[in-house]
Amino acid sequence: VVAARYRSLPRWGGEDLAKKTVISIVDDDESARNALTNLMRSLDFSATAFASGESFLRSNRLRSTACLIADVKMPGMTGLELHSRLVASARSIPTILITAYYDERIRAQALNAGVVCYLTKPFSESELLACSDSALGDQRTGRRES
Amino acid sequence: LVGWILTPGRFSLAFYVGRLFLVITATVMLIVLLTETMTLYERLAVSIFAQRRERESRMMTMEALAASIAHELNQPLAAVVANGSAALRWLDRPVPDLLEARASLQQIVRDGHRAAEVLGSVRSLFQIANRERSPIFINVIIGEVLELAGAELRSERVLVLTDLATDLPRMVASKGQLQEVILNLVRNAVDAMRPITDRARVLKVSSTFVSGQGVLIAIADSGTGIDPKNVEGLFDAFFTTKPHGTAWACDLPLDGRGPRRTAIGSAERAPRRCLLVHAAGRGRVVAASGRVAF
Repeated sequence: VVAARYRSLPRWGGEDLAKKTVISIVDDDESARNALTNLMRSLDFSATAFASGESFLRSNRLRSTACLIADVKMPGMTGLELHSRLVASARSIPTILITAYYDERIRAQALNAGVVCYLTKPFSESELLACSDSALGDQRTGRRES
Repeated sequence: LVGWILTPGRFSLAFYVGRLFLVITATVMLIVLLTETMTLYERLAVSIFAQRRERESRMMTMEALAASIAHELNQPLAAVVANGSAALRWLDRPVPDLLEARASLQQIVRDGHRAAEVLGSVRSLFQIANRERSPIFINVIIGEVLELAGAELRSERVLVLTDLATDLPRMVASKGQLQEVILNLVRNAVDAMRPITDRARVLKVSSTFVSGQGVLIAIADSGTGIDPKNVEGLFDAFFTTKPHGTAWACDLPLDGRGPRRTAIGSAERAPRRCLLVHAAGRGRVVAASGRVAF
């Protein structure tokens, strides 16, 4: 991973990196979060993966993140808890929840709490893109209003 | 007809007594038959209800199992789909990024293997071979399980202490099932200790010979302990207090005769060939232990 990043640095250069939209991915499953990070990077986002909600909250990416993609079921803090924590601390980030285990109740709860999308794994690239578009759109209008 | 009615003896005492007996026997017969039929019906109804209940509980078990398998399989499948899309994106760039595409494809191969492993472990769970009993050394099994869980234990910074008796006889048991049980208990212990940050995470595995009864395998951790109100359900299929995931049954039958439940109590009083649990005060012991008769 380090080598891959190093290789891509000259091409996507420092100044490009700063302009890219920052997306953070929180998933306890290593291969799932690496895959998603890979996909978002291939879509020209700047993507960073975190193994838990706690480590995301501690990171310096918290403030620059434009869109958060979080797994619902994680040991410790769940994706939904992470979202409500951000909302409660007035640092709300447009959030897409993903899960390998569809649950109608949690879906309703999540959408009520203001989560942009609730996607069931495996989801297609177009589904994810539609969600990230509306998430980033939300944020832009949100910024304009404030 | 008139002649017949007026026949002497037609309304004699003997005639009435005879009639009375006929009526009484008929009534008794009727009552006996009715009671018999009622009892049969009742028995039938009870057995039908029991059957229906059993089918429902089996369905629930199957549902939980299916959900668990789906969850485990969707994880690598999602990774395959995402990596596949990513690989296409890397290739579709104005300047195709072959290195990234290659890395994505390698990841797909790895996830594919992982999906196969999930299916393999599901299959082995149902395999008959898994239930074959053979003479084994419990300590060897414990060693294998700890090695298997080694990566997880290290990454969670769990200190493992073993206290294995050296005088254990060989036990006749199903190796696969025993491994499954011990591994589940170790994993549960690790999960129980995950929230602990203010003291050391210690996993203690011990085996002792209980004279005349068998070998006691105890898995204790420095976690928060079992809530007394949860002790009841501990050996129910798929019982879990974890907010995520479905627990694999920790009541795998050690004797192949179906799950058993047992009263919670001291090791000495527990019946043979069943799992038993010790629950102690907070932070001291949470142990569920397996016992095998020999």
